[in-house]
Amino acid sequence: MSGSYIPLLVLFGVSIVNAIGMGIASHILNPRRPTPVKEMPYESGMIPLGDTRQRFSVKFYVVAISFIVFDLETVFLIPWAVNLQSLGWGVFGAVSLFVLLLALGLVYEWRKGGLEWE
Amino acid sequence: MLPTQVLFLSAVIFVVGTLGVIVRRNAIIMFLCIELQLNAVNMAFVALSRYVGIEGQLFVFFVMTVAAAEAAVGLAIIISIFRHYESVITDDFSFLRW
Amino acid sequence: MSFLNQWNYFLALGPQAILTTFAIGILLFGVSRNNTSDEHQGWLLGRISLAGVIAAGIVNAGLYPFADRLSDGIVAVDRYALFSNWVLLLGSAMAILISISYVEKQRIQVPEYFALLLFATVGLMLMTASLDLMLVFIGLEIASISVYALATIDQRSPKGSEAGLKYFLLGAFSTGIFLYGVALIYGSTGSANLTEILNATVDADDTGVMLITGVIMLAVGFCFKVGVVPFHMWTPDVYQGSPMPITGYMSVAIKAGAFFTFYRIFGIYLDNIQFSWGTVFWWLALVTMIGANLVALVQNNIKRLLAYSGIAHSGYLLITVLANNTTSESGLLYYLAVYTVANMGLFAGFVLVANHAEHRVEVSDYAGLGSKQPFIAMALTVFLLSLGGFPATGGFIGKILILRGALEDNYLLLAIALVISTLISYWYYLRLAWFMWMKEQAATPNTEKAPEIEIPLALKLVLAVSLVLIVYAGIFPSQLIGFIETSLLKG
Repeated sequence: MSGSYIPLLVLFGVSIVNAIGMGIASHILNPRRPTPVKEMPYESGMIPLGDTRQRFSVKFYVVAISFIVFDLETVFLIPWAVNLQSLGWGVFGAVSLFVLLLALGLVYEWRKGGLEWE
Repeated sequence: MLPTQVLFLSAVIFVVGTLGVIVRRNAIIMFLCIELQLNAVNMAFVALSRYVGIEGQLFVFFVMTVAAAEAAVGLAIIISIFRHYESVITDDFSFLRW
Repeated sequence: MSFLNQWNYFLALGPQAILTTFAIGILLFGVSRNNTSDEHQGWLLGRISLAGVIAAGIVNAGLYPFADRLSDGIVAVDRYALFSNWVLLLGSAMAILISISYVEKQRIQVPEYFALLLFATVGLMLMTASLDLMLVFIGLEIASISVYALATIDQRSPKGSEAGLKYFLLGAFSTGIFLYGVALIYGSTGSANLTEILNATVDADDTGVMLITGVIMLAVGFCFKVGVVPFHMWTPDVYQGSPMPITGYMSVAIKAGAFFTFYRIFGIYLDNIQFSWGTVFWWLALVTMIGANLVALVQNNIKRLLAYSGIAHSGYLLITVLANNTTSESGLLYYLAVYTVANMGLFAGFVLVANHAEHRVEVSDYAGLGSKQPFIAMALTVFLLSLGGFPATGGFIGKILILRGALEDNYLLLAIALVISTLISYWYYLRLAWFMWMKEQAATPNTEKAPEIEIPLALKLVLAVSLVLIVYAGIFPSQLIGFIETSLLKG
């Protein structure tokens, strides 16, 4: 069993040594003559204006969370919907309960103001 | 790919996630590493279900759901802490000794 | 009766379903009215959630005729699960009673607070009753996510947010490890169902590396949740930063729920491969008992003190998982029941002394309590003695049972370590009691005079009931032991 992994391990070893070796070699061998122009983020482009990491409204986060929750609802509903015929009424009841609970969650979110933009 | 290779890949991803949580100090990156762990688990479940039956694919759904719930609460906590400290770097919080 | 008819799951999960209904009702009640700044919302919703806990308790009592007759599903309705439900319901009822004045005074969002408390209890009850590792995971996560949110529920407290973040990051991290363990066990035994895992591990000779790795990862995940020494680093910080009633709930209910499940999984269903996890647990128990008690000696913040005390108790309880015979199993159940009552009572006293806030949490703040508030001081002293394991308190009987169980399975060294660490623990428990009775409050001019403590009815109830239970369990243990012996998984 474990014998079959040895080629894989050899491959990993060789590739790790190769990668590290190349990194070190280029670090030692390359000539370094830094100039201010070379150190700019875009060497021959526009001069960047301001920081790229701007903060944006936290409202997006609330919407994203709602999206995750209701997106995952479908993960449970689709397998049931595909097998609707064979699963019968018992499972229909269970799924209805599940959807009802999610609907109550939606009511809570709505009343709490999670769906309002401003 | 063979399931063993997928399993190996999932182990590697899991280790990357684990090391990330231990090494990094940015709360959001740590959180992403935790998500990486959970997705490695998902990959392992799917790979293993090739061997031992369909159950494993079912578990993936539950793990995904729990991961989403965790994301909701976790991001809310990170936002709440950002309001107090203007930072998400765990070294910047000093009230409680880490 | 079987689970072929899936509506039987509603019967089996009756207490959980009742609590869920109440929790959702409280959430919707909170958004249904416009005057959300109602002064007495805490008292009203506290009573509603208490009613939910009592209703769940009634359903739990009603499940006894069905016990052990529903056996083939992924939910166990055995007397063990029903007993653990009692402990968890008791813990959460006491947490609710402690919280009522606290949430009103701290202006915490009341509906969310009580709903999350109930959801956490639902998760823990689901976890202790489940016979499938995946259901264990879901129960654990319901509880953990609720408690992450509860730890940080006070929006204005930076400490609370910090505690919540730490708890969240390390808790989710341990969840990942736990889950990878589940995946590996599933891969090597072919199922996540505990019964099938038991069948697959009967022949211990062909145990693969994968199964052992999985079991160890599962154990590490649990050890994070209960705070066993190498994985305990989050505990003191989180306990210190969380709102005080939540700290009490965490130290009691999460620990009890996790240990009930821990024992069910490791003591019963993974018993065949004890060689793979026994040694690990042996060392963990030893290091936890000695280490946590030594660190607790130098703590001055009572919440941190209680955190280390709780870690030490996890160490004692690990022995029962290791030496699984009927004596140590009844020791586990007895100890958890008594520990729940004593620790929760202790936190009731802390909340009172802190005047429903987060100040006055140093040991020195308790100086002179005995002369000013003899009832609180006496109750706190009894709870401390019970945690330390003094004779005539419930903790003593629990420790004796654990010791006897350990000796029956020849864990002599662990038994000796238990006795030594108990002796160490007397120092810090008695130090707090000594401050209460023997020391006068330092008359420094710049500290404001300690406010008069008036005890709300709910907290009086908690203190009195816990006091009676602890003393009763210490002096007449035979009834409780008799009840526990009918609730064992083994035997």
